[in-house]
Amino acid sequence: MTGATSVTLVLPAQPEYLLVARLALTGVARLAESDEEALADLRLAVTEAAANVCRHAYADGAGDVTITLELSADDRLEVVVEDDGVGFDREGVAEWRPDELGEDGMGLAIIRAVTDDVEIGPRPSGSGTRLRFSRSLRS
Amino acid sequence: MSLVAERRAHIDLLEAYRLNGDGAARDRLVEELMPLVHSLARRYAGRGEPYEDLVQVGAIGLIKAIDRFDLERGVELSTYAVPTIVGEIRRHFRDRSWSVHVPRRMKELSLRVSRLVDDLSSELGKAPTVAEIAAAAEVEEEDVIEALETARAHTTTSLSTPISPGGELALIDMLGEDEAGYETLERGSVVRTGLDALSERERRIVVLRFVKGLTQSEIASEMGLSQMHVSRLLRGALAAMHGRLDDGEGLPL
Repeated sequence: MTGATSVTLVLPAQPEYLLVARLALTGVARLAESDEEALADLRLAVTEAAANVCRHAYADGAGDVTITLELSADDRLEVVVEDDGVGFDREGVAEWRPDELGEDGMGLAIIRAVTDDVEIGPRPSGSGTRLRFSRSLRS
Repeated sequence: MSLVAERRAHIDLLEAYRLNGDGAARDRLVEELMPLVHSLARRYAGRGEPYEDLVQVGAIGLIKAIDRFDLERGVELSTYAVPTIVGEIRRHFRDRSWSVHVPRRMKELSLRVSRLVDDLSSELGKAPTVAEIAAAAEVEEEDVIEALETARAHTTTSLSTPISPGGELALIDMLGEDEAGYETLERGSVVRTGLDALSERERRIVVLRFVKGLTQSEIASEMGLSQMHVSRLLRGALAAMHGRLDDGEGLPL
C-alpha cells in the first residue's frame, strides 16, 4: 500500500458507540493485513481510550469523541482520540496512579502496555483532550 | 480503607515479604491485588480463551510484578503491575498460537452465523437482528458483525473458482483481470455488458452453465442439443464476451 489511509469518525461519547470504533479500526487494520495479535491490542486500546472519554469528558454527558485512524506506509496504525470536554490536569496525568484514578488510570496503563509512543495532552485548539498512540500491525 | 491507607498496607506487606521473607504477606498482597487481574482478564475475555485461564496467567504476571517491584521506585505497585499482567495474558494468547486461532474461529463462526440466519429467519418470520444472532450463537455482537463480513468476503471470492468445462477458465478470466472479492459484485454489470454480445441461445447456455451451474450434458439435454454442440457454442460465447470486454465497451475500469 502506498501513501497513507486515514479515516476519521465523529461519534457521540456514549458506550453504545464503542463498537463502531472497534469495527472501524478492525476494517482499517485488515486493509493492511494486520496480524491478529496487533489487531486485538489496538482494539483494546481504542476501546479504553474512547471509554475514558465516555466516562469523563463531558460533565453533562453529551458530546462527541473524534477518532482518527491512520495507516502509515510502514504498516503502523496511528490512533488519535479527541474530545471537546473538560480536559484534565496535565501534572496529574503525567503521574497518574491507577489506585487514585480508578478505571481511568488503568485504561491509560493498558494503552501504554499494548501500544507504543502514547501521548496525552490538550488538543492543539487548546480545549478538550487529545490521546495519541500507534502500533505496528505486525507483532 | 482509604486509598492512602491501602497503599501503605501494600508497602508494609511488600516489605514484610522482601525484607523478612514472609510468604504469607506475599499471599495477602496477591489477594489484595487480584481485582486488578480480574479487571484486566475481563478485557481479554470473549477472544477464544476461557476467562478463568486468563485470570490464572494474569495472576502469574501479578506475582512476577510483586517479585520484581523496586521498593525504591516512586511508582505504585499496581501501576507497575499492569504491563506485567497484560504481558502475561498476551503471552498466553501467543502460546496458544492466537494468530492462527482467531481467523479459523472467525471462519467457523461465519459458517455458524450463516446457518443461524437461515434458521432464525424461518423461526421469526423476518430477518434476524445482529443482537438476535449474537444471543443465539452465544457470542458478542461485534463477532457476529465480523462473521457476516467474513461470510460476504468468502461468498464473493468464491466466484473466482474455476467454472469452465475443463477448469482452465475462471469467471475472473471473463472479466479480463484479477480482482479482490468485494469488487466482484460491482462488476456484475461488466459481465452483463459481455452478455449483450451474445445471441439469445448463447446467453441462455452461458447462464445455465455459469449461473445455474449445470454441466454441459445437462444443458445439452435441456436444450435438445448434443454435448459437443453445447461445448462449441459455449466456447464461441466466451470468445465473443472476451472480445466485447477487451474492446473496453462499457468498461469503467
